[in-house]
Amino acid sequence: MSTTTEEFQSTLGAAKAGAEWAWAQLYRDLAGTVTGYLRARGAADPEDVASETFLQIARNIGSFEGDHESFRSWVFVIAHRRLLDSRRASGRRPKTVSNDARLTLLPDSQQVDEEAIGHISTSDIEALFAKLTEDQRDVLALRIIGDLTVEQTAAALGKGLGAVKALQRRALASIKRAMADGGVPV
Amino acid sequence: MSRISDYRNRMTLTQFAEDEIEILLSSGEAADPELADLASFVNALRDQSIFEPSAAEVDRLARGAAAVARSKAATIRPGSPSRSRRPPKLSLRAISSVAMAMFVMVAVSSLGLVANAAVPGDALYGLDLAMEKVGIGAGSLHERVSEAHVLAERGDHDQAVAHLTASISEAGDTAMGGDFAAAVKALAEYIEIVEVNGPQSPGTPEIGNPTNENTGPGNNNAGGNSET
Repeated sequence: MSTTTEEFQSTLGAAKAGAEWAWAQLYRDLAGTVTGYLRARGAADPEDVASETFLQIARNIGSFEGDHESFRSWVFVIAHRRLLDSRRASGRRPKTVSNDARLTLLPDSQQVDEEAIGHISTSDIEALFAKLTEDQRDVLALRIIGDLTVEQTAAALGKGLGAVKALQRRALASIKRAMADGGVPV
Repeated sequence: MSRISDYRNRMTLTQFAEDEIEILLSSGEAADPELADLASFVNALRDQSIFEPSAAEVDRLARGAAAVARSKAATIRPGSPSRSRRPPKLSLRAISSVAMAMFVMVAVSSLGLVANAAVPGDALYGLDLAMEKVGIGAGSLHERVSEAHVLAERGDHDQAVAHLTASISEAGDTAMGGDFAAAVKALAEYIEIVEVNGPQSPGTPEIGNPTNENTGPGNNNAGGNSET
């Protein structure tokens, strides 16, 4: 999706009016990262939570004003809240997806791509993420998968800029130590 | 490198600049060879987490979201004020409330001033007494003397004497202080002179200078309240 100001505002206006093409464009643009974020954060049913997120966006989009970057940030704020709601509803902590189960969630094409990557497997990623605290996982998932800035991440999580920067440094340091100690291929 | 700084580096990567961390997280590039392992992690996480939704999924979600957006948009009637216009409307209402409150305050204050100058027999004298009971206006014996003096100037000597007598009776022993007693005496003399010789020039007997020959009529506090 093009992110020029004019085109985004045109899409936003059409989405507010209920145009299906505009919603298809917004969903294509953000569904992958939103669902990826929810999956990395241990949502029981990431696709379902992603759908709830976009329906919530549809309910509130009439009051949204801003550019494409602001929209992305707003979407992840809602996704994060829906994730917390789904955890509360199921009354449990975020689950650690088993390697086999996680692989079944991925499209076939993605599994092929994963094999091609070679260096770090899905199980490696999962093991490395398991070394982190909840806050550190939130920050890294929003920054890397959601592609949010420090400011947007801070807004999504309700934390200060300094706290987000400290969390991401500690998270990366933990990952680096775990990779060195555990012999994860680079 | 000391053990402490080494430990700190291992815990928080302080040996790397903020820009280097930012490049790593936003683009997956290692600005420093030491960050190559983390760059691999960042790229792997991104590649393995993000995938394109299927066309069927996009269609299904787009239909649902568009329907929700249309239903919400339909609840806002054309021409009706939007949320962004509410603050000015509230502000206008607040301004109106403040203006009304100020008008009422000014009106009450003006009425209070007029009432404070009222004497027995005037329409607003009851309001004057009520205000004095709640601490608005003087309400002292000095004011009663002034009121009696106004009544005497109007020629209502009986009312002036009755008002003064009733006030002294209400005040009890406190009314017999030196200055006040002298002022009452001066007023009584004034009334007596008026009754004998006709109207004199207006004035309130000056409290604190009862022996002054100009006490009562013609003193330097013409027509005013002797209260200080």
